[in-house]
Amino acid sequence: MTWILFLEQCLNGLQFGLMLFLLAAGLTLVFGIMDLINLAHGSLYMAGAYLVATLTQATGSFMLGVTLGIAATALLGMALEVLLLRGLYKRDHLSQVLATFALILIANETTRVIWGVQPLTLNVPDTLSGSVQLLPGLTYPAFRLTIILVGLAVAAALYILVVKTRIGMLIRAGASNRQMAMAMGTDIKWLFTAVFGAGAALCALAGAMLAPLLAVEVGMGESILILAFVTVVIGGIGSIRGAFIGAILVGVVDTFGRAFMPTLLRAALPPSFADAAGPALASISIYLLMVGVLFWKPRGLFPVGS
Amino acid sequence: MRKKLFFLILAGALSLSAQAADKIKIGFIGTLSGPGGVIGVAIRDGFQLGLEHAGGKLGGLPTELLIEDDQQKPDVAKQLAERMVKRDKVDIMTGIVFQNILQAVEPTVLGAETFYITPNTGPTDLAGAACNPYFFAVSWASDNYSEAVGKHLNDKGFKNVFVITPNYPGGKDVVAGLKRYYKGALAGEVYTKLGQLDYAVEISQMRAAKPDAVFLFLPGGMGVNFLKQWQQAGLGKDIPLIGTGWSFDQDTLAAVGEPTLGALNAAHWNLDTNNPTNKKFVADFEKKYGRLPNEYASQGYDAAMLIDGAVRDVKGKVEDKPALRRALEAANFKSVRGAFKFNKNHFPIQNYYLRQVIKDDKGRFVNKTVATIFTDHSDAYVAACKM
Amino acid sequence: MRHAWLAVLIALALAFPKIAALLGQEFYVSFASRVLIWALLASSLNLLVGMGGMVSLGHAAFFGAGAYVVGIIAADLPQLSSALLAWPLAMAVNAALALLIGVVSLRTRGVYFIMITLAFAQMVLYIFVSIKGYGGDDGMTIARRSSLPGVNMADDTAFYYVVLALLGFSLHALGRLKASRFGRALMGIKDNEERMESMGYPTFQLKLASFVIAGSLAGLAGALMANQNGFVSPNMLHWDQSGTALVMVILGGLGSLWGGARRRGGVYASAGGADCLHSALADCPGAFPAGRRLLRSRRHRRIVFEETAVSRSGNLLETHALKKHFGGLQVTDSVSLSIRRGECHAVIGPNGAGKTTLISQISGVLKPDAGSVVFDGRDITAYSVHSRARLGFARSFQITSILPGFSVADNVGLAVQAVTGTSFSFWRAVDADHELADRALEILREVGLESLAGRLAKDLSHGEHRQLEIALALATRPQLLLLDEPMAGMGPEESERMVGLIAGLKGSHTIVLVEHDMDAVFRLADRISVLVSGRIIATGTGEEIRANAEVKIAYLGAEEAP
Repeated sequence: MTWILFLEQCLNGLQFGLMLFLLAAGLTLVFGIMDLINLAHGSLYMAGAYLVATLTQATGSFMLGVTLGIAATALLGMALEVLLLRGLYKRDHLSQVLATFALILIANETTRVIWGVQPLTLNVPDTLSGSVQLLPGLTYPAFRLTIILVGLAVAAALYILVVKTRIGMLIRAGASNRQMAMAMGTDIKWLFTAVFGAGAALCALAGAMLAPLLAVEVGMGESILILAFVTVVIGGIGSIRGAFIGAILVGVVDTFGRAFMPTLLRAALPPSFADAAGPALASISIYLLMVGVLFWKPRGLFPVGS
Repeated sequence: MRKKLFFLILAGALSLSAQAADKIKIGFIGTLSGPGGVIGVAIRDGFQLGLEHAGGKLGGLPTELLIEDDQQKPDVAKQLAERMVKRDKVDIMTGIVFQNILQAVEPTVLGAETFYITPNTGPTDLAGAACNPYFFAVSWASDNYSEAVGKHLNDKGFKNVFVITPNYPGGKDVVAGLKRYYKGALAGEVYTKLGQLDYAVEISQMRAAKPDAVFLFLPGGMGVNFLKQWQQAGLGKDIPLIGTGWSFDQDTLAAVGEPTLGALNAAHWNLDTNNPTNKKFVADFEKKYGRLPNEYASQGYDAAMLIDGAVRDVKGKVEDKPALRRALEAANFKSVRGAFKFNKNHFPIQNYYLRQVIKDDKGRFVNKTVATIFTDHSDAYVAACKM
Repeated sequence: MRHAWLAVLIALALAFPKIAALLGQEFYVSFASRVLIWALLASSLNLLVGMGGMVSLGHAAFFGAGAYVVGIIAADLPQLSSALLAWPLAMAVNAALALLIGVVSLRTRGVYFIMITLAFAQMVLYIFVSIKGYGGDDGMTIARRSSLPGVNMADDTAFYYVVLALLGFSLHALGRLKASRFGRALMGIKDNEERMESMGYPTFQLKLASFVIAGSLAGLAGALMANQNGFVSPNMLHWDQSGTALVMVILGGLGSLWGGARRRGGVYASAGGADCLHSALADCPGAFPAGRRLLRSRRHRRIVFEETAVSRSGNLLETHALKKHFGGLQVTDSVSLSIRRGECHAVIGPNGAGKTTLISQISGVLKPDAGSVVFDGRDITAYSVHSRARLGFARSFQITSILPGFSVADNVGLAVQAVTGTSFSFWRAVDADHELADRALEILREVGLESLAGRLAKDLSHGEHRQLEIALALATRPQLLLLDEPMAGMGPEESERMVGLIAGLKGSHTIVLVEHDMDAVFRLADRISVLVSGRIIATGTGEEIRANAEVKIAYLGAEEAP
């Protein structure tokens, strides 16, 4: 293992973590402020990816496709909030889990009807299709580098929004004490809708960033949803900072688990056992991380509220 | 309440029973939805085209085709199979895409002495010691494709190959097949989680390992994602990519496009396989479904034609099981792959070809046959079969 | 009427294979077995979700692990392939697994609990996916069903009856469990966990026990499913199986099966088929004698524990220099109090003086930053709420904290149960336990709620809620009553009744009273401590406090200010 490979894997972990952050940020706010377990968050990600892919093909421009796709997904999310999810805020977690589970199934079927079973593909825009030489011997795909930069920019923007602005203050108040936030403004409904729309937009951005890397297909939301939930729970529900740290942790732990665990085990254990245990440990590394965090801090790394 | 439901179902079932003796019932269980659904749909479409070519009458018998979706879940498939065998009393079953599904269903079907013709997965245990008089593979044994890749790599003098497959028994079978013929070193051997989406970690490892070729076995969506990311990592120019035909079937090529260009792969059939049956199959498939067929579709088509020929040979007496078995063994039909016969383990003896992805004159990405790797090739397990 | 329906249902279930055979549809027998197995899985999950309020999204882990035990035995340990060995082993393995998962998971609540159970299930899933020897992702085929002496298990009909018998027994056992002390305590936790803890219930252990029982039952369901299907695959461990089981629990009716059961005239009357089955099957007295003996030994230990707490000094409770701050705010600052045995000691002070924080530190809800709490000569600063409750603390809450879904009598019954014997009694119906019911009625008489015994607690008026609070506190036979603003929000008439009630308790109980109503305080209290900005500025009798100049300035100063 050379240090170049190590650096490259660090970048991979960072990139994966930042994508998780985009999904987890919306999820954690919806969780924290509206007290809603939204399993259908992954469906918004899927919707975003499909819309971006379709609009990119229709307009012929990736930038335009991404912009329109994000806007459309945000509108879709807000419509969903107003028409459906609003009624779920006061229900218990069990009903929320079941209702949004049903939404996943509906979203998948609808997508299948509209776009068919074949995955869509979206190619990387030409300007970003190559690789960049970062250091002698270390080349990295330009598009993945773009993802890292976009992820960091969004994280910084969210930080400023939440910490420095009035809306951010409302959001934080909402996450730490819902009753108080409700008492503070008559426009709380509007705030909920806006937060939900912003979460949907972040989903779409993640979908847009990943669409050129992954097949855009039905069911793409579920596998990543669980990871996003793990991230949110590790970070502490309602905490943007927690979602960021949690996402980077999950990204890096998962990447390192896959990249180095089999080799390390082979060095320490008999090969037959190492070959069986390596992939298993790599697969469960993030769940171990989560259980470990919750064992020591039952409300996540950055618990919000009292 | 629950019991009431049972009786409703029961009553419904009764009205459907009492089958006529002068027709044949085929049970088709396939993965028609979810990530693996594309494959099941291809097989079903191929089978239905075969049925259509036979005039809706396999071997001259009016044919009832029951199609069910197993959702790629073994327990769902198991229930469907029980229903088809015990309630619907089908004569022949087919359709299953994945090995783990077949494994769950097989005791029910073969235990009831119902014929099963696999249009895809060919588990190696069924080719060897566990071979069964009621089981026929119209496709291949699971490691045939990778044996062909291994032979090609070995013949061309590759010395340092990097291997990537999902961490499941099918993947390990495939690697075993590769190693049976490829004698060079392995630059790396990575087993990924089944259904993994992002291969950045593994691609970085490949870049660092500097192999002289990468062998991939990543069926379905996994392959699509890998190919896209492979192309972006810019390694395609330096390191040749070679895989089994399953990663480069026509549906995948159509979906992925550019990143597959130039990739090598091995299969037993291709669009350009040169015989009259295949020309008609390809043309009619495209006309009927608006897309080019892939090998899965060709296997579905051949499954239908195999039944057609055998039922014709026994003159429609499908209840005479020994006779039907002999007729199936004779495989008296024209396969789209050309020369075809069954070995004593009911697995095929056939050719395997090296294919390369090119852009055809209509701008479509298709496989072109570039060489024959194996002629009349069997499998490594037939000796263990006592049948 | 209900019993008639039940008889029909059982007859149908028993006759089902015969009917199917008559109609030539034997296929439906194995289908029915599968439905029964799912019912067993769902009812095991219902023990967690419906009774205990623990929404687990990882129940498939136990289902799958139970199936794998059978699969592994079939493949490698044929000497264990008797159902009499294999199935109990599957249950034992899952009990151990549930204990492990439960110990970690039950530290968390709500969403965190949902997610952590899911995470554990994912881990179990990936472990089985990685075991090549047992088929990895493909799963494994089980050639032969577990054997049972005298039964041809290969026959679908015989197997159906085995499953039916096991389901019947399990539902009966779960029905008994629900009606037992354990079941009632568990439902109490679902209703109001904080209250249950302050009454002295070991809520963690109770939840853990139910988690282990549910896990082992799910393991049995998995073992049966493995036999039914003849194969096992990691698919059984997938989270959508957990989701499906949850959906079944909901469709089955959380409320109507075992969940917050309706209480009618002291008899659990619920509509679910399972309950009917339970009540129709014969009573089985004397079951589990060994377990009971074990639990009795626990009870003995407790009694000894209580006897050591004999008085030694005149002060029952002392606090020494208690300090607590939130952020920069010093809420209690070196508070030292001594409460004499048998006195009524009031703590007064303006709003925000830190009274509730002080009482929370005494009852153990909050840990002080510095200082100590001494009860009966013993330093209890590090004791948890429920161990303090066992020493004889009882607290009434400032904000009403009762078990809203239970009847008034059951509220008190649960409180009585907390101090009389164990709650780890799984079989005997709590309604047959006259010791509990009689004591509960006695207490209700004492607080004047006797006539409302059958009413649901959430339907009471505010004043009645406060009375019930006191009743709950009394039921635990407290040595020390902590009354946190018992008169808050009451009208004059209700207040008067409450003053009378507390006056009646004086002498027989040591009472710490936090109250705003000065009239009441001066009528009731033997001694008064005045808390201002986190400090005690004076302690003395009512007369002394009235005469104290510092109190006048600090406490009444606002009125005298220009």
